[in-house]
Amino acid sequence: MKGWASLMPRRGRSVTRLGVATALVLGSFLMLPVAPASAAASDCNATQLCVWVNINYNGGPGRFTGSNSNWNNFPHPACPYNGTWNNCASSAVNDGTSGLGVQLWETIGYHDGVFCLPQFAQVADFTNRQFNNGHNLNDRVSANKWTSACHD
Amino acid sequence: MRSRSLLGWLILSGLVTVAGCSSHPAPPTAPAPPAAADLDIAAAVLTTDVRTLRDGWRLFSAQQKLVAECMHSHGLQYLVTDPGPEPTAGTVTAEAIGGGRPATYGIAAELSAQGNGGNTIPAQDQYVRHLPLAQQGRYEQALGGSPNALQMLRLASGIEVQYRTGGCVGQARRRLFGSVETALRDSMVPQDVGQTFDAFLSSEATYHSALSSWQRCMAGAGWSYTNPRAAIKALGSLSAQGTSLKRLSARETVVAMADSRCDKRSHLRDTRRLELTKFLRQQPNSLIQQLLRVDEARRRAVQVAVRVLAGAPVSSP
Repeated sequence: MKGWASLMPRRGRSVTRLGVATALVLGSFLMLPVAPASAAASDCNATQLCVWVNINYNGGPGRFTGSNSNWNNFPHPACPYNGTWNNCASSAVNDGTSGLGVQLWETIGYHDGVFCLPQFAQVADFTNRQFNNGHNLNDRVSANKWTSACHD
Repeated sequence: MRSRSLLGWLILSGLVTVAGCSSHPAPPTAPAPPAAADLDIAAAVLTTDVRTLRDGWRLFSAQQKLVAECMHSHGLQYLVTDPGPEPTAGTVTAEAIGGGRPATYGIAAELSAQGNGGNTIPAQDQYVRHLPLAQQGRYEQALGGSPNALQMLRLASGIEVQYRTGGCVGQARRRLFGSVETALRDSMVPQDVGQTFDAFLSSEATYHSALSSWQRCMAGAGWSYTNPRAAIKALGSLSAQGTSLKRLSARETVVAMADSRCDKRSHLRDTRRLELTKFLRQQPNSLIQQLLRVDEARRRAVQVAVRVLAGAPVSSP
């Protein structure tokens, strides 16, 4: 998803649903606007690479452990490309505990562009970030690989 | 009347001249171009070669050791991650040819250290995953500090990276680099500037000519790769496709030797080096200074890492 522009309608719908649900639970006693549950990078658990459909850690997270050469194998219904995490991520957190950085690869099988995120680092917005071949990172990550050399 | 007005003009013009001298700034001078030695250092930061790989190996190993010691001091277990054998002199990278023999990209050696072709979950992560949930939070806090206490690093390209500063990892990074921010810069700045250089390189005719020559040479040896980086990536992905480490090791030696021969004929990596200097000459001095700071910090960190690995005491910053 391309940042806030595509996120807003979805947020609007979820706020409405949440508001209706709250109203049903509380009856007419409390008809206050309900804030959406705040998305947070801290939703990611230790040992995981977490990714979100939207920027600012919204829409997910998808949780990856170990290296995975093909994100087509990880379904996520909210991902518009083909319902998997392939070509879907817009923000990420490296919460691995091993000290390794995590490479995000542009193409299945660890091909084409790569970007490496060190341990305990996170990027909220892929829209302005490029792989090392100049291609935009947003909605283009297809594989992840853990590495001790997180420089290129 | 005439003489008085002449005198007035003289006084007036004198005052203007004095005022002009005192209030106008000196005409702007172009900033001095960076010294050739500085450009060489900046270029080295953007080039992965055997020295860079060895430095990275030492830094990773030392950080693992420091983190393990720190976690043990909290009464917690930590399984050190093995980065594989130290890169040999014969290691060939996408950007530099190693001096020694046999030529290798070091792919099979690294995958061998990771086990199962690098596709398994690191032992340390497996250990943490099997901790009871109540203990996981305490463990993660000791390792990385609070996930909500973050600092921001803004890179030259405008990209922002947030990072944790606490726990044993924060402490180890401070011991090695002086600050957690400096440790993050060591990884992020070369990536950030490197992607801009790659875009520059893709439009340089001289480089394309050398690359075509390299491709023809490699094709003559039976390998159809678009560039050295693609060759390394293709070999690295073989294990994910089921190729055994033994076969991968043999294949990477043959390809690395062909790559070295073709580089000598095409001058591909020399051309990249010249283009890199050309690129750096076009960059603002602030960016060159940033790269020089990364180099200086890394040199110091490697010195600390060597002492850590030798078991010598290292003072806290």
